[in-house]
Amino acid sequence: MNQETQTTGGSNLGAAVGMKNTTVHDEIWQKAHPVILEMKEINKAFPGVKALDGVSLNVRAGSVHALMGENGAGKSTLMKCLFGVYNKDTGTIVFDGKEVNFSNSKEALENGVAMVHQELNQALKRNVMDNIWLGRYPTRFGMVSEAKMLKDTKAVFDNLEIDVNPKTIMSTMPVAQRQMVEIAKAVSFNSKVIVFDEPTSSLTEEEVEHLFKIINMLRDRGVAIIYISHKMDEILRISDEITVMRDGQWVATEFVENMDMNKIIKLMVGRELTNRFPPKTNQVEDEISLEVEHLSGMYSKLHDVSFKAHKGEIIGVAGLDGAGRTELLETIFGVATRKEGTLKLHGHEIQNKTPRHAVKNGFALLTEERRATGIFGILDINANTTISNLPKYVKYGLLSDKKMKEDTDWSIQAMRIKTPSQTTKISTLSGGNQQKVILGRWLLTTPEILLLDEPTRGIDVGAKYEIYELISNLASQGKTVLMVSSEMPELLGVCNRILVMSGGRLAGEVDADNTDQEEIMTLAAKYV
Amino acid sequence: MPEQNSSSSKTKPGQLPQNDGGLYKHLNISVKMISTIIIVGLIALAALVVLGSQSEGIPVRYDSRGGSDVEIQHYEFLEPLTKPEDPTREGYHFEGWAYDEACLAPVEFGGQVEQELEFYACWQEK
Amino acid sequence: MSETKTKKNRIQLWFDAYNAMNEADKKRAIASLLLNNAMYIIILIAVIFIGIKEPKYFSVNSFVNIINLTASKLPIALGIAGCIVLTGTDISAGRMVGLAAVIIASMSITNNRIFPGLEPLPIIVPLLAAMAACACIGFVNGFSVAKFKLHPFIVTLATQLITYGIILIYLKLGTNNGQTLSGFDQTYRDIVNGTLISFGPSAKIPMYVLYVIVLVVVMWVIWNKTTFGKNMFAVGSNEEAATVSGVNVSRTIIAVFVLAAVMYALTGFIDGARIASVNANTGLNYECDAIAACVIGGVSFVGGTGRISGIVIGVLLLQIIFTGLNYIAVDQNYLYIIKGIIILVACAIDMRKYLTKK
Repeated sequence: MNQETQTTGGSNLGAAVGMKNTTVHDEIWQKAHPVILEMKEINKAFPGVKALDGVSLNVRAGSVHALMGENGAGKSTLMKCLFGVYNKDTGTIVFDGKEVNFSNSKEALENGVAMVHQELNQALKRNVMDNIWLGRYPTRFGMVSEAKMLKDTKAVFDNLEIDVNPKTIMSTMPVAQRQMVEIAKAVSFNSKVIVFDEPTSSLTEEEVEHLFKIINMLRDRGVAIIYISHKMDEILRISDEITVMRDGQWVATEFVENMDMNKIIKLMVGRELTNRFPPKTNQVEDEISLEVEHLSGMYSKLHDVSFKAHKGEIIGVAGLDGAGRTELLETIFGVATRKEGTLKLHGHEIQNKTPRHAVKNGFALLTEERRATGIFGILDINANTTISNLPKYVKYGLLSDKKMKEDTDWSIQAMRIKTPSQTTKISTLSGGNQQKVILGRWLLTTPEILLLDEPTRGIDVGAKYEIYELISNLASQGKTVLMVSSEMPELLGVCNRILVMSGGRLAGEVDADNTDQEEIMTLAAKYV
Repeated sequence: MPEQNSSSSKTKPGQLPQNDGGLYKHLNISVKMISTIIIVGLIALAALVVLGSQSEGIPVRYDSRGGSDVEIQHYEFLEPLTKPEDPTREGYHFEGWAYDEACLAPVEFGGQVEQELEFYACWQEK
Repeated sequence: MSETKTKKNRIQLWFDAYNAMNEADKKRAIASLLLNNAMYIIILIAVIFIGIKEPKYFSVNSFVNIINLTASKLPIALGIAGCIVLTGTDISAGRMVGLAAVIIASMSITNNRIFPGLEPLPIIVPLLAAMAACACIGFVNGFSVAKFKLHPFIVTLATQLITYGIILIYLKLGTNNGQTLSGFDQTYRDIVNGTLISFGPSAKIPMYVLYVIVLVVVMWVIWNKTTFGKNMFAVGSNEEAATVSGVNVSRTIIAVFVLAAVMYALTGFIDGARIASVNANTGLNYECDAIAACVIGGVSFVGGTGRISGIVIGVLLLQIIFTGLNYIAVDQNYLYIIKGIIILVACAIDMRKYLTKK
């Protein structure tokens, strides 16, 4: 559930998710909530990059301080400096009246500064209480006292109104509960500052409500909370103060009542974004290219999905995390095993049993995890572009460098990849350019059906626009695009039609031009 | 459509996220494939057991080292080891059997046979 | 107590899920159940098959033999299991058993050729010396794994060679010239191999079975009731989570390898008296049996999982099958291949359980 609200027409959504924080942040409030954590003029440079340039952050006890900025703005670098993962070059951190310089997360934790990571870092095969007391097990006569652990865990859970059995094995619990355990762990250290890094990215609406309840509870007890998120509506709702960063610099810190979405976006991007999406110029033809009938997954919960896709059409796939969107693409592409159902390409039944079949049949899949499954970090752009298509370049049993260079050049131009040369290592490019290289790679296999899984995740706003344009151009060339995204405005702005998945099933199909986020959200919650 | 699966956004029990897979982190094999491998392996095991089982029993070999031949004995598992007839060699006196050629570890007959054995004759010049 | 409760629930849950399935899914669920327990099923079939072919297999003599051999192989398995919990392994284990056996033998044989004139020392002295020597190698293993972040396979491959070299040099000391050591001091043999319970002339349970039972209890306590044990599981499950929670990961890894090495020394201690002759090949390939037993017993290479009870069952099952194969007189050369396939199949079955199904 990742709803970034559009600059225009996003007002009713705030109401759907919750109300704005109504606390009046007057002088009395400010006096009652003194600054507990003060980061002053923090500088941090990496070779060739100034990651943090004199950034200051003041967090008040008993308040929620939101930290916002685009990817690469320096939010996580700042937090890593706080927790001692990076050594800051200059600057001071004052916590609770004393200057501190934590050398690792453990030291920070013991001093009362905790972090709830986006990717939960837990020993999943152990149970809940083992995880909470890891590294500081209570002992009696040299033996670990399970009874005391159980008692203490229950006390912390009761305190936070968390309903989790302390003896459950972590891997059997849903993400939301595991996150609660992480929060309980932070609380059990009597933390005075807790950092939440994108805590809601994999939670359902209900779970977000529970999380917010706990955050509010912690705030009322005087805990200072740093809340890092991209979701404007959440931030406006829960935070007291908002700090915006851009390109490693501090841009603004304001009380929430002085902020609104447009202002935040403007501060984050540094310019106003009026046209976030290119015009939809692609022509949807009558000819049906892909027909999916009663598709069910063998091991995923994908169940009985049927739809038809036309030539030149961009179809969005919406839904909550875990609704089976990625599984749908993977099952079509042959990565995941199909249990039932048929696939038809231009009326002919095809099998797509393995990804290789799928590529032969003219499919291409752009995976969600770009770093893990998309790029070859230490190889250059040329190699990354041609890797899926090597048989095409074979001449007299050897690979033809000339043809490969030509194709890579075509890809760099067509995709507008910003790179000094073909031989640049792909890992040195920005996320957006990496994504374009991969898109180029797949286009060289001349696919008819493009399956894109979160094509703009982790890409800057500016680069997103270019990706949208590319997608639109591809559709104009008669290709069919199936695009999964968690960002609803993106789906509405780019696609012609949107399939909404819920609980592994197709909950509905909407025309992108005649719908709104609320309709999609309602459908997405249909089978939850 | 019938209501069937209500646990939507939850990780399935027992399903391990990718960062926690230990040595199996990079496992890339389908269930079907691995099931086939298991079955093939089990069939190979059964075949080997049948192929490898010797009808006569566990062999115990005697190397008379220049003396008259001593026949291979076959034992059942845990059967007591019995001494064969002493070999003869011209100009030498037979001293007994040993585990090693240097005759440092003499064989104690009467013990239980657990595995294949080979013994060496020890000779003393007359 | 709670363990049995969750187990029951698991079976009930499986039945509930099974009843809710349609026909095709039911078939698949049963196939899955059979495959996940294939190793146990094949062992059961083999036991019945061998029992029919060789009725002596079900005799007291045979049971006693199985129990004795299981006990003699348990310490090494208990040691290696810790390394497997850390998603590692230890292939230097067998050689360390050999080193321990050689050191102990060199100090407790009559007619000593390694240290000419040395009378057998009180058994505690050679035992401690062997433990110390193995602990040193275990420390090298643990240190390299913890600090160089090398895979244990590489590290222990190297130390295995080093240990073998040390054994060969040690056996050349004095006037021994690399020969087999035998003729052990009777006190040592009695302490380890003396009769604990006797079921007849050739069926006796020796003293070391008792020591191994104590050892199993001690290891159970270490694994389940101490901070070190819990840290070991946490490191095996997610090293990074353990680090950020303030667990001294390096120290835990080193401790696991040192503890394992001490276990190997104990195996050598038992084996010396049990076999009554020690040479450079004592302990060879012991680690293969131990690793196979651990995997069969549910100590998975996935890391962070495993129970002491599982290891005991694993070693026992493996011993049952190998004793059976001996009864039907399977050729030794085939046994190596069979062992290798058992390890591969056990790993495949184990993987199947943890496979992210797609």
